[in-house]
Amino acid sequence: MGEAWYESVDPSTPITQGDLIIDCPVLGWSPQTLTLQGQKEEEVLKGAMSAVRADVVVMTQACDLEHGKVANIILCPHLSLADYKRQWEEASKEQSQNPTSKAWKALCTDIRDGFLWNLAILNAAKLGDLTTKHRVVDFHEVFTIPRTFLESLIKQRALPRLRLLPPYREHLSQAFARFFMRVGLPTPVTVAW
Amino acid sequence: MTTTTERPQFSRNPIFIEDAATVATTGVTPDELFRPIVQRRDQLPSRQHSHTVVMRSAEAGDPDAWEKPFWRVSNQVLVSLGYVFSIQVSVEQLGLPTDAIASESPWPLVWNQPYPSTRSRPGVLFVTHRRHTIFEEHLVLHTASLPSWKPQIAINRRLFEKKNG
Repeated sequence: MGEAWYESVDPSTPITQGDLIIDCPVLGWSPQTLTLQGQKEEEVLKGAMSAVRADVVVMTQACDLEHGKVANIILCPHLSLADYKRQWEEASKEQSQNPTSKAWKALCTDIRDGFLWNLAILNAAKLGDLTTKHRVVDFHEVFTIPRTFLESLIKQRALPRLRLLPPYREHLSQAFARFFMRVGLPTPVTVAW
Repeated sequence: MTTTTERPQFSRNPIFIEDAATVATTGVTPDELFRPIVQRRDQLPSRQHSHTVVMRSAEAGDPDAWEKPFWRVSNQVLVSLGYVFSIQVSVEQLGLPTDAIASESPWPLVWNQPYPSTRSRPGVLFVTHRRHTIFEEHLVLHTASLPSWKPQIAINRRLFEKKNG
């Protein structure tokens, strides 16, 4: 195996970009369509709040965390490749597609090569008792969580966590940035080769 | 009342009163910063000019890291030829002497408005925006029984056509 992607950090180590937090409670919005339809804004929003547990990775810039510049931390969810595969197969069947192993491999390769803007793939890890399979990070969903809460959660759990090491951390951050900065062309370049 | 003997170099910029050396340059000592506090407003002579006193967190070692800057019209600040003569603020407004920043303000009357704090460092601008809260609610979450997050997977038909074809 080549250079390490991760290090194991203990709960007392301050949070930084690339930290993998497992089973983190986060608040988001229900996927249902939100329309006012004469109701008050606050009533509609109250009914749409949703809490879930998610495995997340810290996306906030390391320097902003180190210098205490942010009160809330940006998180993106990730899940194991096996879980992602299962949900991809379900979604494929719902759309009358045959999720073959060939298509799955092609999909994973495309994610790895950065052809799917909203997805990134992280390597597997085994650091003593701390292990993980490959993880798929989905930038389509972004959570924020108070820094103080996340710090106290880590402290209370008193468990070590995986941390992406440079340059893998920056590679993930760059993929996140690309997802936001991408520009789609209505007419692609005509193939002349 | 304290009188400076030199024209401040920062007459139009915030004056950081952080330590003895800086205090010396402003002509205001920590003791003197506190002294006017005991004066009642009606005991102070009226002046034509007012300035602003801004609090600053003592723990902020970074001079660019502004913490808690509350803009207040000091009750008594006299400017004469650009000199800062004295500063009179309440204990609540001033905090510790070493926390204080004095500044000329082009808008001294905004003292009773919350003022966005701007913290800057190269390439980054931090602004604490005023927020209008729509609602606040105390939520009870049973985190052990929360559902797991699920991705919204968009199936790329072109991928299937290309790979299965």
